[in-house]
Amino acid sequence: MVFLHILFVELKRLLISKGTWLVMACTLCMPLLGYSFYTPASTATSFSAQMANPILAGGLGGAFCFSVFTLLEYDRVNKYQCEALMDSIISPLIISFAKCLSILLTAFLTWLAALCLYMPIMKAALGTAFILSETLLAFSLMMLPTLWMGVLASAAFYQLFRRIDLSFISFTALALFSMSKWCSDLYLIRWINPLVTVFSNDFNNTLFYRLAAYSRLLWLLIFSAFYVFSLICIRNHGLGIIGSFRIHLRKVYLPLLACLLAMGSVWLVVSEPYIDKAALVQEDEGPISSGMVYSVPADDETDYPNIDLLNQYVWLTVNAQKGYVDGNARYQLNNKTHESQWVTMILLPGYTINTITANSKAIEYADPGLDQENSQHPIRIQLPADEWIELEVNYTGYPKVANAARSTLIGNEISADYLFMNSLSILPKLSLNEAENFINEGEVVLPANLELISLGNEAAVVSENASTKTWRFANTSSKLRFIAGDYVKLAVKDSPFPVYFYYSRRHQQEFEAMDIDKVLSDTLNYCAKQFGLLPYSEDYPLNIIMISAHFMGGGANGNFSFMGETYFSKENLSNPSKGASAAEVIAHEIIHQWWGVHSYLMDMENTDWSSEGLTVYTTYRMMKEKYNEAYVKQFYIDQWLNSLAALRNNYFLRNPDMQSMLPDKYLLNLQQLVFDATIYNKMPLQILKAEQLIGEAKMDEVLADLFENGGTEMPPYVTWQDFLDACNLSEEELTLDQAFIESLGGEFNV
Amino acid sequence: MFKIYYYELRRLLVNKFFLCLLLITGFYSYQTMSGEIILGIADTAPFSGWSYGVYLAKVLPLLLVSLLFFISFLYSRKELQVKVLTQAAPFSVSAYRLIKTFAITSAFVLISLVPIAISNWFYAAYFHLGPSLEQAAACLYTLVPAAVFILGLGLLLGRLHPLLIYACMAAALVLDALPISFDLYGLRFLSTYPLTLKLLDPLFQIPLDQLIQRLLLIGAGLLMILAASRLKNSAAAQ
Repeated sequence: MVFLHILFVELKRLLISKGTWLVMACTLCMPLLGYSFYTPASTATSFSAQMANPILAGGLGGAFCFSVFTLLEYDRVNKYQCEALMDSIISPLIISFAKCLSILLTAFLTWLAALCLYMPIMKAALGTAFILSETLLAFSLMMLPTLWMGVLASAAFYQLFRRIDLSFISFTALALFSMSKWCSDLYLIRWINPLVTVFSNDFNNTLFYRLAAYSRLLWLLIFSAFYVFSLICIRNHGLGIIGSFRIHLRKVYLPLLACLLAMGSVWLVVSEPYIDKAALVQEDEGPISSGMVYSVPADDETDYPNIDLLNQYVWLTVNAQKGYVDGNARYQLNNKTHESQWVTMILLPGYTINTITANSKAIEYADPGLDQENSQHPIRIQLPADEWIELEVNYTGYPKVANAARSTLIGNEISADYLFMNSLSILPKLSLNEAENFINEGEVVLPANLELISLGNEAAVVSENASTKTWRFANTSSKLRFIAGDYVKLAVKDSPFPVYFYYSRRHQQEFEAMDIDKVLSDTLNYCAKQFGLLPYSEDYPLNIIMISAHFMGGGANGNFSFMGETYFSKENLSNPSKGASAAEVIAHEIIHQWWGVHSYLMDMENTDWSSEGLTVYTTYRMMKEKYNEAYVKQFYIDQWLNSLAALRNNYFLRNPDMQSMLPDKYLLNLQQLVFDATIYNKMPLQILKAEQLIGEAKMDEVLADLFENGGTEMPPYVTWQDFLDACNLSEEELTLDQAFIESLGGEFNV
Repeated sequence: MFKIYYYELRRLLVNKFFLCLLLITGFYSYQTMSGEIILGIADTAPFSGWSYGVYLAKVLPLLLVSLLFFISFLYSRKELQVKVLTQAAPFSVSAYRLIKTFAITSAFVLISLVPIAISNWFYAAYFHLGPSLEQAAACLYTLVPAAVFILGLGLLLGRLHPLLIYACMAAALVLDALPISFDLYGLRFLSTYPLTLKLLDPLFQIPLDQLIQRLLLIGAGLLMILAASRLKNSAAAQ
């Protein structure tokens, strides 16, 4: 009762103070910085620009404002030298706690005011795209806890040091650490600036809310533990820190509470559920460029050539609300060895096995507990000696993001209205040979609002109730991918084979008004005319899918071509000056259906030769036909030349001996620069040179022939040598020499 | 005279805010050097005059905020309160003001040594290289004109109203983000000019128009210092 009275008095005192109103006003101004100066989330989407950045700026700036405010309030008694008087009236512990609580309440009121002030602004800026629940979640998770953490940390520092300057420096150092490059990809450590890469307009942002909620909870626990610990250090009876510490230790509940809170935070760190624990592999680091393709058509090598996988069937229940998967997978195997075998089964990190049976008998398995690169968690299972085996696996879990992707957070997503799941998140993988007529099928239970798009044959609803739908899917390859959301399905008119375009319902009005159909059919018809038709049918159509902006770039995989929502924005599709960086990414990803998905490009000796080079070249040719020579010169040839010049002129690439002086992480940046420049820029230039030597018409014939018949050197792959042979050219003739570069308007020496 | 200089300098340096600025400048310098500069600017070596100039230009806003912070001491309430005493002392007011300006300049030079020391350590640790003449030239190009200009501007604005110094601090921090062509720090010149030379590893050189610009900045700074002192004199006379 006494405490409540003190709290009320303290809060009342704060609310009538001009200083409090000044701090509140400053905090209310902070989100303005997010519109221009502080933009941690990519501004490619309006949700990022109009919502995420202002809220993140509000949290960051507000934490500093409330830090200063807390320090000044805590120093008040000391400053006016009435400490002895106060201590004689009331316990310093009680007054400290009441002060802290009243500042926390003030922070809450400020946050409420910010919510009331900025929500109408955001609503006006986002128009019909505005979603109240998203805005409330973002404000609640990304601003309010940060203000509270600022208060708790500053109060704790002050109680420890009893000096404003030292406390503020400590707070600033802690904040700067969170904002430093060391923490840039560690969402758990970023306490003052939650990790947000980009906010999606068309799908939800649950991924970021989950991460923010977890890291906020962790840091609130850490700062609470720190604050309780600092309570023990509050100076009392004129004693120093050690003397006061001894006295307060007698109140056993204080150290106990601090220990409990600290242990809770340790537990949260140890049981972190969102990122896997795989060691980072160098090649996986570095920026991810747009236009990457995921199709790797090579058959997976297997260590068990005498065991065949005949078919597999999965029954999956997705709890989209909680991001949780519960599955039952059945594999039919033919064990030609007639001996018991230990084989490897690969799980997705985050999944656990409940039971494994073979021919209805439980079998042994060993889980070394190690996550590996590319989101893999291998376990070993012991197959019986039977010739025909039905293996049944029950598994559950939350899919984790690969450690290598922890900065971009690209990976599986399961949320209430959006799903992006790859093979391993659907069922565990057995590294075995697929038998002829292998069938990969199953059923998945999803919330009724989600439309499932499955790799392979078109998924169909087999049963439904008020809250869920059960979908049946099938594919002839072991690869699976589910994309689900609130999609509109559009059959592309005038396409050479059945093609469906799936886009977010939030885009419906916009897309109906613009000619999105034409953008797609132009590309499809161009490629079909140049290279031939693709083997799609009504049962097995090509699906072009708009996916969340969280997945930066796009990809092609089986009968999927998917691209992030940012490429479908009105300005990107209608502005030709955006050139190769925007609307043409859509064309690029569709062209990958020809180069990358249905014909495989690889060369063991020339690693520059890949589907990317030919896809970029084809996009160039298509745009040349669609626009004009000047357009492709500006947006394609000049870009390639500039990239090549940057590569040639790079100081460290010119001076290889200096590279040894660079730390590994900087060498990785260089490797990425070389990779991007050769794959996306040098190779298209070499193909362009070949085109100039043999003529456009002949090049079209060559490419159509390579697509139709594949390569001869290493079938079914089309190798660099296959390409040279088809063009009747030698490698030397395609060297990017001075004359060629200068003929394109480039400069060779610099 | 030296005693006054010593105490003025000590007042500026032995200060919790100075310590804070020192830490922030050191931290930011290291981040800039290890993040943006280590792979070189405009296809030159990370230790070329161009890269070094860009590094200093990036750190310069923080250094100038420190300089303005030192200037704000001249116009603080406490300073004005003791003005009556200092003016009553048997010492020339102009000489006293000169000493104070000199102390501010010295403090600025000292805090500027932080990024310079960090870069020297960085180059020595990674590339086994010591300071070079090119780096010295880049240092002169970036630091001196901007510092003299801001010193003059700060003194003049402080004379008009002390709060304007804080507005100037904010402007110094966001200047490069603003869509204006005023290249006070030389960042745009240093990062684009070497590419226009069409040479690999061009020597650090400043074209005549840039030289004139930098000299004009120094001239404008000196004029403003003079104007500030004249304003002060006339105010004192009144």
